[in-house]
Amino acid sequence: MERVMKRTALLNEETFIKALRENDEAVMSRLYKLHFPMVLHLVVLNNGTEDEAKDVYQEAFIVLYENVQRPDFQLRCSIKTFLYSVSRNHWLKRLQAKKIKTDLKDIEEFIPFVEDSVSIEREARLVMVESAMQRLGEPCRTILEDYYLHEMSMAEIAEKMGYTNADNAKTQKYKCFNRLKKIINELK
Amino acid sequence: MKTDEQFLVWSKIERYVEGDMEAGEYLAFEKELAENPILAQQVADYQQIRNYLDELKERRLLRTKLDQFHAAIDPIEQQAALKVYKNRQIWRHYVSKYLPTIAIAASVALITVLSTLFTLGYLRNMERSQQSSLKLLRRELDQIKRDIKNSKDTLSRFAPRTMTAPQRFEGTCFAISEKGHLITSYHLVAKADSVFIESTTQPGLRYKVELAFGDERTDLAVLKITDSTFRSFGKIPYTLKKGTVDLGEEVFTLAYPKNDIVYGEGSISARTGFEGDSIAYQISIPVNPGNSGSPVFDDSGNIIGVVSGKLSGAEGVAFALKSSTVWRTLKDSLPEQLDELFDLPKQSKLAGQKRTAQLKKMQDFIFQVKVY
Repeated sequence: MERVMKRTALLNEETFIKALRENDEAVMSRLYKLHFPMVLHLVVLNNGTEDEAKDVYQEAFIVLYENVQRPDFQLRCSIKTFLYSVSRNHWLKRLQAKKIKTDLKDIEEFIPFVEDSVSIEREARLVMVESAMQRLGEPCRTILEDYYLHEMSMAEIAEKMGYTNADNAKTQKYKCFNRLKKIINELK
Repeated sequence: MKTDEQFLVWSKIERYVEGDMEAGEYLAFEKELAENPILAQQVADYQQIRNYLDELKERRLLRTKLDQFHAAIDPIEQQAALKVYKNRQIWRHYVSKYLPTIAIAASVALITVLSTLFTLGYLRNMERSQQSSLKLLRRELDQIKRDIKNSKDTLSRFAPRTMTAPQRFEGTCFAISEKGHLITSYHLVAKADSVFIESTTQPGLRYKVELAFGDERTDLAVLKITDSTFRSFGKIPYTLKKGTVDLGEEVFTLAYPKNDIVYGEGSISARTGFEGDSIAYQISIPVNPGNSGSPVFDDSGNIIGVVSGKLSGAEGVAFALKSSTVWRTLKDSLPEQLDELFDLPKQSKLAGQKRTAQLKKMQDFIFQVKVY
């Protein structure tokens, strides 16, 4: 009974939005699966590969996810149209970057979707921080990732990285943090 | 400042931002922050890097999740969904490529056909002949009524009006018990003021009847003779088949489409009636207005149905309520009176006889229904 209800509930757009807000992974997974073939077809039809389709679709899915988290956000079209419109824009950008000139063959209706400044700045920031982390090199990257991203304790990190105690690891972390700060300031 | 000192300050900032300070230390640090803008700037710098890393953490978690979703996609399902898109694409391509040609061809054809039909004056006739709807078989007396009214109007100028209620329509009914129960179509008698039965095979016979049972859904009605002069019909020779009959079974009717009893024969042409109605048969017997309520017999003289209507605009397509439905409806609706109103022999006494002999024996149990 519960299973049946859950299934029918899945057809509802509001349920999907709610799932995205509440991080309901089971429902999100269904939503992801539902519209991927559409974007796959779009990208493959327009000189792309399946991997590229996956990248573009995930970018669009992230835009949807992050927009939905904002309390003032209101979806003005169906989720499907939203995902299609964003995927389409991203694929056009990639084609332009590859210097491929083509008339995009559309397979769905779309809305003119312009990402707002908040999203654009966030994406730029993420690219910057990610490349700063790459430039940081080892062991700094692992230490900072383990501590800030994977929430490991300093004792665990000291053991993993072969430091004699947590204090030594802490000193090292301090140095790494400063270096990251420096790189970020250079990149900004 | 020495590195050690700087490290100590940084550790403090870290503990402050991460919320690892105890209340006393926290308050003291806040105080220091208010007084020391350099320290405040250092805290802001730490906070900013920390925010960057938080954002990165969120994004990486989301990416991992999406990869998991992606891995969970069933490739077969995906292929199927993709195929739907591809097919649609082919169709769209086809339509966009050939639609102008098709449209022009179609409009030329349409204009040609329409102009031809228009010239020949067919359009009007077509409209009329295509109204293929179920028309109930009551004898429409509208035209006659109009005629009578006209003559009356003429007459009334010369003679006083005579008071007789106009007869509305006629149909057929048949006996199902010696004591005066008969079956007919409900639509004939539904809104009747009074109903009489007559027989041309027994001149002078005329009884008043009343509706004993009526069911709009099946169009089934049971009439009961209320005349005090009525005694009994005598032994009824036929019976009612409680089961159904097969496709192609030869059947016949006896009915009063006019002021005389008329024989018609044909066969069961479909196991369902109008628009797939499962309680009726389609029969290929030429029926006319007035046939409503007449019995449909099989070869052995079992009643297998009751004529209910015909499809106007199509010849030889008529419908008969199944005898099995008649039986079930009466059994369900009137279980206590069933024995009384349903008094037929267990087996037909007409089996194996020549058709003419059968008709002779059954005709006295089939009557004309006159509704006023």
